[in-house]
Amino acid sequence: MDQSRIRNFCIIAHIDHGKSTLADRLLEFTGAVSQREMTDQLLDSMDLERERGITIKARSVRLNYKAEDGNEYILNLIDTPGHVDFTYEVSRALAACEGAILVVDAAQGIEAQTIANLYLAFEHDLEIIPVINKVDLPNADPDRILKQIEDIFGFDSKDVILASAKTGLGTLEILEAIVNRIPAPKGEVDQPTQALIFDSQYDPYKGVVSYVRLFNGEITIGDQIQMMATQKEFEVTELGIFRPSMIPVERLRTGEVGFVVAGIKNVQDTQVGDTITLANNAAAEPLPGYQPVKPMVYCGLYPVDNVDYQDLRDALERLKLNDSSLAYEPETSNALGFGFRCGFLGLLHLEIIQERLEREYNLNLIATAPSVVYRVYKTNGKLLEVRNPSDLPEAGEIEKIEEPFVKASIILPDDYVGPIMELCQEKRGVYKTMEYLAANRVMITYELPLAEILMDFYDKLKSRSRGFASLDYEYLGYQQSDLVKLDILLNERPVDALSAIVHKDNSYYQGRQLAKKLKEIIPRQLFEVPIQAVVNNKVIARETVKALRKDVLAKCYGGDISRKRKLLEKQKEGKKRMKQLGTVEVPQEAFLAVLKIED
Amino acid sequence: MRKIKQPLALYIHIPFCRRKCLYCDFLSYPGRKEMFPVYLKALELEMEQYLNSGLKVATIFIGGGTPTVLPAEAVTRILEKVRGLAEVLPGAEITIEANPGSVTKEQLALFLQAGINRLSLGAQSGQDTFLKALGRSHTVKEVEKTVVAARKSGFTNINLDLIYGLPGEMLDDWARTLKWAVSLGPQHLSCYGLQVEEGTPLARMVKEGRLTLPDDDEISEMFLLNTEFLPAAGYHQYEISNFARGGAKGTAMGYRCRHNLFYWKYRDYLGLGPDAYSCFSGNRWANLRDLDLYIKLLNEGKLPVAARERISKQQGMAEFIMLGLRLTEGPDPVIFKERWGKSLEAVLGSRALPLIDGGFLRQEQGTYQLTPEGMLVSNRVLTELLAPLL
Repeated sequence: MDQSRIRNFCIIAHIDHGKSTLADRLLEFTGAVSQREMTDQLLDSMDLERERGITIKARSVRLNYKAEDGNEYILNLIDTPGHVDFTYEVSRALAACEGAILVVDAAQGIEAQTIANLYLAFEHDLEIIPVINKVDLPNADPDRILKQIEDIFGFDSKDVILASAKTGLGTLEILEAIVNRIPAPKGEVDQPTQALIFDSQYDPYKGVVSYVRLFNGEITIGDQIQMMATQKEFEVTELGIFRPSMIPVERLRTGEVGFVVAGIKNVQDTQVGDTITLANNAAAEPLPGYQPVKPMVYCGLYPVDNVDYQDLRDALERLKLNDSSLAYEPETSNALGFGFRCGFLGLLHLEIIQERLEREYNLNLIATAPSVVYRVYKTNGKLLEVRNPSDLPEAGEIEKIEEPFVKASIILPDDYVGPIMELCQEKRGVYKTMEYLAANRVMITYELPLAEILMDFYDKLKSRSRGFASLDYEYLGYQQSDLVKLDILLNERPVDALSAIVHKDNSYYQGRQLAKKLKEIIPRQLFEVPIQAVVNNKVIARETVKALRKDVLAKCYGGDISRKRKLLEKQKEGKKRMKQLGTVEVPQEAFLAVLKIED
Repeated sequence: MRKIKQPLALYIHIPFCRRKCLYCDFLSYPGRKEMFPVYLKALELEMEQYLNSGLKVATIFIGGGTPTVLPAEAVTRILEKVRGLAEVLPGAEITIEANPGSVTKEQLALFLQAGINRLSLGAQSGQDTFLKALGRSHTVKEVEKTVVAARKSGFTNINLDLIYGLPGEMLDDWARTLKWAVSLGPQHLSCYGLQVEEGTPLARMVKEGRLTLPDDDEISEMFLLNTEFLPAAGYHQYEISNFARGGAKGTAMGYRCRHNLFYWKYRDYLGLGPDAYSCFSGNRWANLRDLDLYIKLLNEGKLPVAARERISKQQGMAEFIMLGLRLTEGPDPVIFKERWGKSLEAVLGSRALPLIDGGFLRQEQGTYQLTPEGMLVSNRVLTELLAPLL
């Protein structure tokens, strides 16, 4: 197919604004799938993606479209992950496109994530097609949203398409806009090959399948390819396109989107953002924008029962095959035994991995509270990266501690500015800017410690704005903070897995609240359980879980024996889900208690 | 199968009553008098299936429901049928449950004639307000009258069932009930903490907040009062909820309920009637919890069994200890060793230690006994102790 008849585009939208449904309509309209084959949200193939309504992996699909000008076009839709954890992955998917459809909900309007991704799209010089979706819903207010789009982004209202992905309204208009407004890919087929990897997937039979967009040159089966960042070489055994199922082709050429299989065993070798070139005719430079992945958030994952350690290791290894952003290393805890310190791109990524380990690998896990990476400058001149609060050295050995900060952009109706600014202040935020995006609609920016966002910032943001505020953030770098370690003692014994690093000014308050929360979470047991919170060897809070008073069957005659035994068996099962720390039984959620401290 | 047949306990269920109490989850049909003859016929068929001349019956317990809704002649016939099929040992303890206020003098006399020598009365509380709250149809006065009448008729072994932890009940109320019960001079007292069983009207009322139950601390105090007050009044605690006077010559056995001891000592018992349970030669089975189906199957010559299980060695050991620890004397270490080939200490030793240190358990004469504090949390203590066997 002629390069001038190819269009590569993605869809930018806030969660629930209808991205996946619009993708479904485009697939259906162009006959990529028949109506009969439609399952809702076709591109989100993981159960978790469908359940949570978010896209985790990038994906692409090739649509054949006969436009009104009478010509056949190839439209490559590249679906992008929809969460702030995956900003880098989104930027790579955008880099693979020439244009983007910007979907805005006709009732909700523009949200923080929309803006963040749109700015990313501007950075990549993408042609934007604004679409107001869900115009058929009773609470839709397209005129107001149209005004917002004009005011905020400066789009011309005649370029905005009104659509309903649910009913199919506007689908044809969108397809025509893709053909007419988005430029064909540039690049030369006789130049040295440059193909951008925008995602990869592990397949147990094929090995790693890399998703690529070709910017120059071509790749043919049998070619010896080279990964420009890792310098590794492989022989191409299979090439193909997504329709959306995988269809083999002989060759991928400039401007095309497809997949490459080359006997690659390890996803580490196909880093998202890396450039594939040919070993015998290598490009002089890789495509711009590659960054090695770096986990931002760490937590400990431990099997509740230590015998599951090997299973956990195997499961992590298998997940890692498909997810190069997941990091893990063995770790030992006095309280929890053998486990792993795992690194993630963000909280959602953490939750997804944890859920997959429990669901797909049937593991019963304890997760410790997520932590950022602290930089500790010691008095002996050494720099220590602390990923686990219990590794924080004694106060006397610390010169200073730095923690990562982010620039948070919050968009909200102006009624809620007061409470949200108060929240940012509580969370140690530094006010930066505030601007009106439209009448009643405000964007405020703050510099916030990433650690505070990991705690409960998002939940509080939502509750204090009654769900109206949306958040996006970008990483800023490290800044010095006055931090201390908060330790917890159960039954007079320190529990390393419950330690947290907190700001000195908040430490008394957080210590008291954490002890109180633990008292709620730890059930009454045969023995009384004293809980103490300690900062710098000083007990700052104390609570007690009183001993269980009564748990007895009054009657036990012939008919009660089986029932009684089952009751004991059930209690034993309940114990299995608890972690035994000395004589104290601690439920899994206790290790996340620090996240649930109330105001 | 053991070669020499040990005597067994026989339970006969009468699934009828006048009206359901709010807390009751036993299988019992209020009214349905027209079913009495058909049911009694089915019961005889079931007896014919299980009983034979080789069986020695040490105790019989006719429970319900309210067995005394049956005419006394029907009860007589049941016992005659048992005697006709199996060997009822001389001196066998034969109990019938009765509701105060509804059992007549004539019935009492006929029961005695039929060989019944123990009467168990569902007294429940010594205060009318609580009886009403439980949906009981009798009054405190009627309990008193029934006890007097039973004694006059010649009953020398009377039990009163009592319930504590009733909605709105305070420790003082329960103390009054205990005093009142002792003043009636029964030979035996069963004191049960109220259990709110799922599906009962009581459970619904508690859930909807129409009734408030005393908290665990209050109920624990009531239990501890039993363990102090009753022994002082001459009622020895021999099981978590059961108290008995000594025998005429002060024998240790005294007026303990021999029938129920079969359950706690893990000896064989046969249960007849719908929803009755049996445990015999390492097998346990439960009859159907449905009167009509029970009758239908027996009339078709089939056993009315709903579920069976073969008790494994591990399960047997766990159950032996679980039941034995309900007794103040603890599980019998000699019989344990005989039956399972291991000493109690070998099975429990290391797990018992922290519980002994914690004051929940005592080690005494080769066995283990729950302390009163241990009894209060016995489910947890057992989970700790028996974890490897569960």
